[in-house]
Amino acid sequence: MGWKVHVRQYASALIGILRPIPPLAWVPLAILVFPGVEPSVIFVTFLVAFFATAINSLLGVRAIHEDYFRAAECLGAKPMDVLRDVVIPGALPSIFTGLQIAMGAAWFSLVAGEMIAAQYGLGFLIWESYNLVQFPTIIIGMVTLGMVGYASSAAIRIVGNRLMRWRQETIGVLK
Amino acid sequence: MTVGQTAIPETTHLGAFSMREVGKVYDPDGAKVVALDNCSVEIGANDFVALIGPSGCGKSTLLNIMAGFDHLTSGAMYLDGMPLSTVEKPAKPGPDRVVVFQHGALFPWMTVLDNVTYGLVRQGRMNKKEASEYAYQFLDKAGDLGKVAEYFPGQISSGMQRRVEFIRALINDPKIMLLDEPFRAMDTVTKARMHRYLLEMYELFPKAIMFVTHDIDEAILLSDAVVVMTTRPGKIKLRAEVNLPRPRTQKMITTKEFLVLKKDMLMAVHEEAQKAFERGERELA
Repeated sequence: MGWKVHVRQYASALIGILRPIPPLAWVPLAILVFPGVEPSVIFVTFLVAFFATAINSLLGVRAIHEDYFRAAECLGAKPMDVLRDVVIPGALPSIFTGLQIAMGAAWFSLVAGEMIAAQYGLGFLIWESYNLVQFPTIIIGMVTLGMVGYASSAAIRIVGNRLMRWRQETIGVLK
Repeated sequence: MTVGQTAIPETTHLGAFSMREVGKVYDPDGAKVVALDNCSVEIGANDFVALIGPSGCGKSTLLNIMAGFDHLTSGAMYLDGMPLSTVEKPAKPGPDRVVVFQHGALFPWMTVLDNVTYGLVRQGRMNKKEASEYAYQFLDKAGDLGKVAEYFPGQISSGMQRRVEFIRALINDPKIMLLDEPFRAMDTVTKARMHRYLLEMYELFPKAIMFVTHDIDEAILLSDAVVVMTTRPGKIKLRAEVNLPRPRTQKMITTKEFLVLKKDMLMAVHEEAQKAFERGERELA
């Protein structure tokens, strides 16, 4: 997406307009469009995660130094080789940063969506306990969110480290 | 080169390069910035030619046109007598003209071995295994570099990285190597060692080389001919043959022939640099 100039320009414009719309503003529309509440919460969560990942990937590709593209071409790489050997590995650190941000944002909008609309889920549980003034349940809900949030971030980090062994070994980041 | 052949060939391509009345105008319909004007340079088979000139004179533009990253707007370039780049049909980048970049462009996400074999594999000249065996031979011959083959570029020193980058270019057996100020960012001691290394490599694997630099000592010490460019619009100011014997050594820097050459070069380069300075132009390069 960040590689080919035309695609980049269209994608930037589209993302530029759609992204500033806060996730919660999508919820009513999603509920009307999708059958049932669950799919709409899923849709909103997905949307938030998608934007965070897409923007970071786009910036990641743009940040790859021109010389890497040139070097690949010099050595006889075809466009698909450039995509596989330069664009993707070069953008991977940014893609994974995007995924981390996306995971946080996804939990945020999931819980918010559930508080507004759902009949079950952790967000619903916390809100319901608030209505019933059940302190322990609220706290349990929050701690659970913290733990699953941490676990999901850790999962992304582990996958990222697997895919970017070179980064770990050269600059020792992401350990 | 046939598939399966792993011995390093004795004789390689004889790249003879010819650049005739090459010009480059940026924005021809608008501002008309003339970057290169009527540049003609001949590089014979296995000749080492250095190109020097003040910053922003168009050295890099010239190299980029040779490499196929940029297009010329007049004149033509020939490689082995065949048209390489013309106004109608500009050259594309290819393994017959491999570039070694100023800031280094080893892929940091690939091991040294994968970097070195990259060209051979992607051009379909060898499969991965054959290319690896061939690369090990090359790396070992080129100063015992086989021991770092499994490392990532970020784990080895900058001098070592640069050597690996030379090998990554050389292993493709290009007709001409294009070196874009490859030692610019190095300290004096590292630079001197890299000069020695490049000279050794040149003895081992003779190649036509175009070496862009603005270091006069470096240009004379390494090359068979030094071409000096004028300040923008870049023209060829003079070409001086360097008749120092090969193999060259660092000590030659203090010989009389060297110093005589250096004096002429210095005067030519300083004259141009002064012009550029007085015009107060911002660097383009």
